[in-house]
Amino acid sequence: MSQTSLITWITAAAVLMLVAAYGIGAPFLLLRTALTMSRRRRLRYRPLDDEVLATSRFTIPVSLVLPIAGVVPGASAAVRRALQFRYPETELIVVTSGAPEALESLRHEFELSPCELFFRRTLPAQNVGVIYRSQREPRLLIADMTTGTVGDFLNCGANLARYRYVCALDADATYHPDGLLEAMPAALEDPSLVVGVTTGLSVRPVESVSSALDGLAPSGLVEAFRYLAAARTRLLTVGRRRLDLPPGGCPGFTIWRRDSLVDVGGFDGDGVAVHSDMTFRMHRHYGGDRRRYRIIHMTEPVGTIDHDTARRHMVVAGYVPWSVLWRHKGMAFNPRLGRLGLLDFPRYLFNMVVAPWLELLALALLAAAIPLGVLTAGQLLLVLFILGLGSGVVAMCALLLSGDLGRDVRPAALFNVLLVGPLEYFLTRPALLWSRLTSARP
Amino acid sequence: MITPSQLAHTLLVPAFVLVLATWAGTGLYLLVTGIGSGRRALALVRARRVLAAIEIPDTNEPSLRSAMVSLVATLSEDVVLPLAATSTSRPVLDRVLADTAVARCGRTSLEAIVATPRAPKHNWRRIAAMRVLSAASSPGSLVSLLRRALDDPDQEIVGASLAVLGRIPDMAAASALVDALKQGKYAPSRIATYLDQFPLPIGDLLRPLLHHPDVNARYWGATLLSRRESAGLQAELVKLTEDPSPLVRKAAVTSLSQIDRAASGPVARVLLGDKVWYVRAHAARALASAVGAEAAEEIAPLLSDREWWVRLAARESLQQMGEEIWSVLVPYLDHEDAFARNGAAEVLQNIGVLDSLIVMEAATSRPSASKVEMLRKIAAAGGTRMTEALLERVDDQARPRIRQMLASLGLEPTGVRS
Repeated sequence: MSQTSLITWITAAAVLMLVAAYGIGAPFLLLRTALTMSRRRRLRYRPLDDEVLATSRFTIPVSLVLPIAGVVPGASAAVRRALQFRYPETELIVVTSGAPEALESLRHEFELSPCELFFRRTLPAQNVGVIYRSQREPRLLIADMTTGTVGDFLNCGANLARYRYVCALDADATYHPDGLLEAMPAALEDPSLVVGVTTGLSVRPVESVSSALDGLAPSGLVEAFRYLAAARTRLLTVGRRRLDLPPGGCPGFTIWRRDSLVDVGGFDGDGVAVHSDMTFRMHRHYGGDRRRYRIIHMTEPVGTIDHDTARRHMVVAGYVPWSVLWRHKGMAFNPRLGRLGLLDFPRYLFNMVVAPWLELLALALLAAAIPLGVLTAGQLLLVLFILGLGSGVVAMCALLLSGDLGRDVRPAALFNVLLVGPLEYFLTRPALLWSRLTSARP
Repeated sequence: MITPSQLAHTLLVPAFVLVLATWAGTGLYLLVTGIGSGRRALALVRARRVLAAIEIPDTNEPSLRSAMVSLVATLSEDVVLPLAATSTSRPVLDRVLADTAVARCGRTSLEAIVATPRAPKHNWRRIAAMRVLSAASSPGSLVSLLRRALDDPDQEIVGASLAVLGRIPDMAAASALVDALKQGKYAPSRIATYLDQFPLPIGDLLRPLLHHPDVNARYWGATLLSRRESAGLQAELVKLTEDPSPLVRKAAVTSLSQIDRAASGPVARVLLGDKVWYVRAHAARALASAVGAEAAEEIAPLLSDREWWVRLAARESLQQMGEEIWSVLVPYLDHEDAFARNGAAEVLQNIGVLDSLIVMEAATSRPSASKVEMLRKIAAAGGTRMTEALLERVDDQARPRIRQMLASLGLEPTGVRS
């Protein structure tokens, strides 16, 4: 075979790979997953407005840890919401750092006063500057750290926690008051076995019912595009479940059993993808033996998040970064971990490290397809249509996964969202690809 | 031989048609379902706003009733049901609204919805009908319908039926819950939750659970009866502490300690040596609650138990006993087991002995070497929150010394900034 002929065949293979993987394979697999998940969601009883469960003595108390670092708009509201969980027994430990404005608003709202307290540093964390107690809310404790990473904040919270389960919250999320009540039964199934519970959020709709009624709902294609791009973050749970990784795009809250946290040495001090790192630590600690531990994921969203924050989460934390994967490289092809080490982790590594480069190469070869005579201009257009429509199906999967279709109340808003689906591939995909390439870069 | 161009030409058109058809089909599905549920959601929120704006006091029931009739008359059945099924935290308003909804939709129609199994996507309607009928003045034959719904293959329906049964103040509802527990129709802990908070006294219905052949039934029977004392119950629970199932032994000793402390002491002593760890843990708690500080010497050895939860139970039980047990714990600071040392240190810290020692030793110009050594041992093996607010309780002069002493013990300070 001549060199030209070889290049032509490679180009044709690249085109077919793009069509098969991004036009047909991924959309169809996702559609199947979305339908399965939405059916499973329907089958689970959601105890809404159930006062009986909210006051039951057969629950386990939870220590909530809320890190607030830097400028966080609405920090007081986030604390208020965290205190409003309907749950029999909780305490809230807020760890602030470099957030003087947030601290000031909290001091004002919750009547904080500093207290001198000595505690044991069970998990490694940066120094705690001041600890405040609230005169108004006895369940609230605020630790102000001078510096630190997310890992430090969570370790500090776990050091101060009194209860068996530690629940890490996100200040950007708006949680349902019953979110914790819905997530904890997963741990209650067998507290001696369940070491972690992960959850997800849904993206706030373009037109919530309330905003539509109040005439505040934005509309138009641009808003629909922003919503859709954010809704796709829900899809970042797909492909991670075999490894029990928390969703990358919109993590809700993540609950860990405190004694297991201590056993594995706490959260990573680098503060990058701390919950993914913790998941890998748990796998290694328990040797992948599922009879000894379980990390359960709740598919039902426990709250909502706005478009911009969801997209930021997707780009910044959507993928497990290379540094974390490299730290746990010992898991790859490790027979001690069983299927997890022999199949699931290597497959994830391939998806993270190799697949983005293959996609980039295929896109480059697609551009060369016309000069090489593999495709005509019309066929190239057809390939682009297939990729766009495939992306449209993926976007619809995201809508199916977001749960409540009735949240976008006007037909025009929903129609706009469906219409921008195929275009969204060409606008969002480059950012996603870039995120994967940079996060997978050694 | 086929060329790359021919291959692309052959495959691209079918692939395009396939993806286009999928996109169009999925889009149509989303559009149709989305528009339908969107309209309903809009109408529901609008109705809820109207409901929230009603200022008629609960005492004026006739006016409330006419307001509800006017509101419900404008709404479709699909909106009335979820509206009336959700509590407004005004019990009278909820009842009047439920009555109006029953009148609007027809009791027979609602009972038919409850009784008829349908596809999972219609579960919301069936569950709403259950709730509306239960909130109305007269639930009618709802209990028997719900009892039948407990046999539904859909767990969502079973869960909802149990939740509604748990709210109906009728012994037949409690009986249905007990039967569901015996037959394992749903997660036992969830059924037990509803039985635990049932609005009527149901001790007599729970007693037979103690003799049921199923372990789960006996366990939950013993657990639930801890709040329902009755004649002869103590003797039955004492007998259950010898049950072959460790779960039942655990529940029996725990419940016994709550209803008759004196009777629980001797059996808890026996169970401290049980071969199953969680029985030992609960026996320690029961013994501490029954006998108090006198049991410290018997419970302290569990600080070095091989199971963490037993050590935790021992630690917490000893803590409840107060300062007088400190001498029992001091030898454990030199125990070969690190967990035992840690447990003893935490108890000494939490009962206030650590604070007192620090204050006393810091107050003297020449602290006793043996006591400082003991403090160091406590700190080295100690717990999570150490000497909380200690400094706030001493005068200004003593503070620098105490700070110095705490730092020398290896404890982590946090500062105070006003």
